Amino acid sequence: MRLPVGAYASILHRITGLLLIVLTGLGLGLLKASLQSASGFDAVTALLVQPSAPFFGALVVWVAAQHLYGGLRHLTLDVHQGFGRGASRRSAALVLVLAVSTALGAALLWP
Amino acid sequence: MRFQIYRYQPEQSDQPYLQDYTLDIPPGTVMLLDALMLLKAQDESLSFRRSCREGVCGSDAMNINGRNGLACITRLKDLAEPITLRPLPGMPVIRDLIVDLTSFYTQYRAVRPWLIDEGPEPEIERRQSPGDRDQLDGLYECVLCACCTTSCPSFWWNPDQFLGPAALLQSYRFLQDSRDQDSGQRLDDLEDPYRLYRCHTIMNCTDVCPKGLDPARAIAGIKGLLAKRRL
Repeated sequence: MRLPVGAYASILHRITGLLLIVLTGLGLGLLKASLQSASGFDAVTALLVQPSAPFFGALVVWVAAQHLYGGLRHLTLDVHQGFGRGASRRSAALVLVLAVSTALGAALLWP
Repeated sequence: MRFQIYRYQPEQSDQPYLQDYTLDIPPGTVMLLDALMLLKAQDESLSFRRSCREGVCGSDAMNINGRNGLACITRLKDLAEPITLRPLPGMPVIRDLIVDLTSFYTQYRAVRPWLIDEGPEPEIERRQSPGDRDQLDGLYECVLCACCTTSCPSFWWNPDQFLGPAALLQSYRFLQDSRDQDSGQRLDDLEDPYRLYRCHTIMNCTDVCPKGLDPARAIAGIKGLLAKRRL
């Protein structure tokens, strides 16, 4: 079965939704650790300046961006905009491209 | 031209397989169905459905190079080789490219695809204004080929509960018909977590429809009617 681009956008919307739940837990764990003590704060800061941090940061941003843009696309469809073969393909492709662009931007701007 | 065609002959083996064919395409052979007819002349055991050969009956729906479509309106020159033909996905295979569409027709019947008006029968006809008639454009043209429904992941998962895009398109066609008098009951029947709301707007249906229809838009229309009714 050869899936259309809209199917990939839809599958990724669901996968990133699940990942966001996991990542939110991890993020809250890091926030808690950073707030508990000065040593905890230092440990979290050290984690975020690792050489691999921009890569993982960009991955997290991609997950959030893919889900956000996919969700906006669904909301647009809910108000009956963006139907039709051409429009749905274009909006799905746009979601994929925008999400990757946002992640790359985050990697470049990583402090 | 090279072909790979899904073969399943239950009287010979339980295991389906892909059979390779090579065909010298004679001049004037334009559509995939023409090539299939020539292959059938070579190997009469090859089985597939076809009838009108012009995109009206919907019988020769199959999975063509990974995408559902009608063989009779698919041009050979648009297809990459080897042309891989499989039966419509998610349906029980009876033989080769022929699938059992019972569940598809069951869901179609469930939406009561006929006009309902219990009022007195008119002497001549049930009249409709041109404006009301225009509301049916893009809905009535469906040929029930099942390309959309069998490309829908929600239907693959819940073929017994989710009506599928083709049936929902037909449901919307009658909901939009000014002559139909049973919209309330039709909407009641659809207000269910599975029958309508298993659609997650993946839009594979719209992408593959060989008639260029937009079942996803029709499904959104039904959801809109239900939302308006609640408000």
